[in-house]
Amino acid sequence: MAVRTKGEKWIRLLRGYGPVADNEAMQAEHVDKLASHLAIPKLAFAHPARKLLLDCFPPTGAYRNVVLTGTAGEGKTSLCFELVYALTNSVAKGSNGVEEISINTPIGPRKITLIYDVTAWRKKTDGLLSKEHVAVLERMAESSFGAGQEFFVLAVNDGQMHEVFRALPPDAPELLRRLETSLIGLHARGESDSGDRLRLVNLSMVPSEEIMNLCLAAVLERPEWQCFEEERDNPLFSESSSLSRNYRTLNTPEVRSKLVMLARIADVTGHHLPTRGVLCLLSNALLGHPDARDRVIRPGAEATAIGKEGAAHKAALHRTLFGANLGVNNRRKREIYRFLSMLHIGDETTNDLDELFIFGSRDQELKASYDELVATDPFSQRNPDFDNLLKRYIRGDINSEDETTLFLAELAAERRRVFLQASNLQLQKYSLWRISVFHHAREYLDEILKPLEAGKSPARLHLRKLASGLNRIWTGLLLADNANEVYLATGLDLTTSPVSDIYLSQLELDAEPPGLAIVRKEAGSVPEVVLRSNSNEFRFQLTLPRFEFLCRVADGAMPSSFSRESCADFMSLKQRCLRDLRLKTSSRSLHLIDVHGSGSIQRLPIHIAEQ
Amino acid sequence: MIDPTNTEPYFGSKDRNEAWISEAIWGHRLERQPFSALMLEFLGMAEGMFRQDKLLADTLPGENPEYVANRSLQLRNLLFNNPRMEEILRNAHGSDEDAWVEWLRVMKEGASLGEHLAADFSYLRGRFDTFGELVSVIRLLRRITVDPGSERSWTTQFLFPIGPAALYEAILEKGDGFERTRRVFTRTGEIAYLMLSRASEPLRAKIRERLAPSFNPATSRNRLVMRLISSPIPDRGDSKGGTYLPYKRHPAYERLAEDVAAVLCLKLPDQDSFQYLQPLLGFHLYLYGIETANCWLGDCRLPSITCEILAPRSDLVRKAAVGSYLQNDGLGAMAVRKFLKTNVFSDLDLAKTLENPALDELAKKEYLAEHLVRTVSLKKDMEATDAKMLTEKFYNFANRLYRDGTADGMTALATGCGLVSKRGTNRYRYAPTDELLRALVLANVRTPMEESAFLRHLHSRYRMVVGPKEAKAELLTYQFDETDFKRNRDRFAQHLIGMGLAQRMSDSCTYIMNPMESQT
Repeated sequence: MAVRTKGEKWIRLLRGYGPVADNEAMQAEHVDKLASHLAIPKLAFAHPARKLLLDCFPPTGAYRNVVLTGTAGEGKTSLCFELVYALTNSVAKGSNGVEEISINTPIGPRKITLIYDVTAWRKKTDGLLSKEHVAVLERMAESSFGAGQEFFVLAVNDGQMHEVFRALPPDAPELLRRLETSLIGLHARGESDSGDRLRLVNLSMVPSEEIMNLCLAAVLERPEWQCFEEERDNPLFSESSSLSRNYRTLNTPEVRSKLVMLARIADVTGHHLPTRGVLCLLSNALLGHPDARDRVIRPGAEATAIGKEGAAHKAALHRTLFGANLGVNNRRKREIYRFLSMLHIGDETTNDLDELFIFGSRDQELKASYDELVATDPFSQRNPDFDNLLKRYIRGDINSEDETTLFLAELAAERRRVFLQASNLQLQKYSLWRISVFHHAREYLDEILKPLEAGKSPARLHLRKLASGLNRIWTGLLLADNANEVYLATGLDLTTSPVSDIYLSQLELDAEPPGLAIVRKEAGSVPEVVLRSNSNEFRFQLTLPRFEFLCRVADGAMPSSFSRESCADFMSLKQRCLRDLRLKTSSRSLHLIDVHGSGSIQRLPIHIAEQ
Repeated sequence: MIDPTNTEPYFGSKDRNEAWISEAIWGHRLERQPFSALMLEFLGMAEGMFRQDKLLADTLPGENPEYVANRSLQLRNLLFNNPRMEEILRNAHGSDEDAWVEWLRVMKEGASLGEHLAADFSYLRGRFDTFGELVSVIRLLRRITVDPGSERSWTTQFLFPIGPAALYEAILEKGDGFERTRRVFTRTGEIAYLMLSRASEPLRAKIRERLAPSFNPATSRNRLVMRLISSPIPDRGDSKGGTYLPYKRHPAYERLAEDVAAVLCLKLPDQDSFQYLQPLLGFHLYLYGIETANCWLGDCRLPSITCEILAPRSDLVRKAAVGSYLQNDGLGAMAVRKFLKTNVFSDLDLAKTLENPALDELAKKEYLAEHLVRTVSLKKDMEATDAKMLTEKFYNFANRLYRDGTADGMTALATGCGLVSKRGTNRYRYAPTDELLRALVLANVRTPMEESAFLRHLHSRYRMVVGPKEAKAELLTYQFDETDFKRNRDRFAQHLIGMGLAQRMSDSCTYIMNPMESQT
């Protein structure tokens, strides 16, 4: 396809980041090729980990060995190129995936070997690394744990890192094994430094939120978007095209901040969004279209044909963002869509919200809310046919199963649309997180994370709620829904007994230091719950799923029927908690917990008589 | 492993066995029992040995390690043979005196304490301030009944082993007294004990150290139980023994001991480790069973175990898991045949006699019948007209004996521990439960282990096949499908992540973690 205009070239480049053929844009090398072919710069931003990497090579010459890891598309190779440029002021040659540079530093000459394409670099013989490469790794190990003027940068995705070490010959030297255990330990524990000559920079540890912000800016703030003005006669860029509507929708502060919020949610649910994934998401959100041949608009004849059809709503942002234009397999392949589908946005609902969506335009009481929340549609994203469907539904004309399914799917899409365009205030006012699996996500973001970021503790009210959730899960008893203390109890047989009513101890929220607190180790990390008893403490990560579970149980859900997995998770936490807090039953008497109607407890002693 | 130098003959009488075939291969004996009885029997024997100061002392197949098990009859009457307690408490309308008098009378009539103890529970009046207090303790203890709701009689009801006094043997009422039953405690738990007792000493020392506190009579939980027993130590039965494990050394012994030691070393609070030991005991006994059978057939390795991680619909993994189970299930019967061929029918004198033209058919048959008694202690007299018919009948008999005994016992072990199930289908297959997977992670993972390394470990250690790499090496091409096994591996990771036993770093890297190892 001959690409003509500037705008089309830009779309061609952006498309290269999308969910098209498997490996396109996966590698920095490929994007470079495409960008130079099109003669426009690739998407670029200063990677947040750049400083971490450059810090290992200070002008003083006190270098470190670096292992740069992260998933494919995270930007490892680009970072290596940048390092070479920063140190030598010349462009990396990048042949065979290895680069050697020499630097003169105040403390003498230093040699740096960068290995940024391990697949090309390592040639295995009989499934084992070749002698030559083992020797290189050995030199790296020597440098990491000893002295010397030679340093290494190894850029490798985390799976490959394991593969490389697995491919070591069985008689690999001790030092190399030490390098292996150190690196795997650092990686698994999420740490970075081992001594002062070895650093692991795991790009997956960079908060997804930062990546999202940078990617949004890199995509949306490109001068090439002038095409909407300059090439408005091209159906692809006309005001009624899906691309133009989606671009304008995506560019609203509500949607942009919503995406950043989702990226935050990714980090606190144990999903990391790599750069490539985020770019793919944005590219597809803008360019996706179910009628396009490979589901992403290609500039040229196809774009023109689709533009003429005038079915832009089919490719509305609230659909393409969730990958609705893509096939199931295509979505399942990509972590980012797996993450989004895990959230089930739009799949859950409440009576109030459905009432608003369905009867809002017909009910005087709901009208104001409806106009504010649902009717607002500045960029014509709503399915024009939906009102008709709604009418048929209300009249009871929808009888066939197919039509019911269609109606429900459209209703879900409508919820997603409203969710995306809602402001923060509206999210709270209409409890919009209730349409997702995480009903309490707003509380988590606003009431837990926000205060922590400001260096404060979350409000007591929320701590009490958590305490109450913990009490109900850990004792199996219906204790008060606003607790002032965490009760630690065990069963007579197992500590994880479904009903654990042998009292061990209680941790007061008001004690000094408090028996229950939420803290955060460093910015961007998942907050931790700290439980303290005497001078012992037990910590666990308060991820969003755990928070959600605690809140729902505190609100009255039955722990084991709501989520067996979460319940098992909390049981194992309890086991560790009791072990680490070193709580034992008294040797003189056992105290049984008896619950009053109000949910407060009474302790009934059972004496163990001396024989 | 099956070399004669590695075995010793059974020391005791074989009078009560129909024949000595499975017993010679796997021991006396692996037999179906309620799964919970496995660990209780194991702990019971360990506790008995602990009292003799012989906990996990080395044993040999030709020895007869005996022990005395607790009976705790007063406790058991109070818990399981005391149906009117609640009613009496209610009817006394707050009068403590009335309640005690009535209840003591009822117990005197109804309780069953054998020859050595009187049905007199008045000692409890001195120990509890009120009748209500006694009732609340009994209620509390009843809550930890093992297999609640089972229809077993009161003499075969058990408590969760919260202390030595709560560990007692299964008995049956007989006349005025009791007799020991081997239907509930079928010796399979004792086999597990004997296996551990033949592991290497450093491991045994580790297990001994960690297991001993569970047998300490001074813990608060045990003292709670002892409050219901009149004497300072629980009443006990006669000395018992007679359990036989044929091999001096066996890879299964060390494997079991390593896993048991690993779980005990996690220092879980109170008796929490039992929760994980229970499936592990069953799992390792099952492995011992199939490994031994395989060895009799000439391959002294574990046979491979293809595991389906419960899939929503049938795929090639499920087919392979069904096939793998069936194959391993068939090993035992073949091992029995092989054993008989080697130990019974390869006898030179027998061959000579059967081929002797001077003897008539009846005489040959008689000779064979005697030979069977000599070699495998056959008790049953089989009707047959000639030796050939007898041979055939005998093979069938041996096969049936194996099917009803050891084979059934192994199925019970495999399903009980969660390795094998019919979930979602109508056929048995290897489909490990989350509980078993958790126990395996706790026993095998010290520091975070990359997923594929863990799968390799499961394969090299237990020959379990989950992921495509191991499957490719183990399966025939037509059984193998890369995509299906990849999905199987993904489900495996998903389950472990859900249980908090794994952490996904990226698409290409997941760490399996032992949550109990993060002790500082």
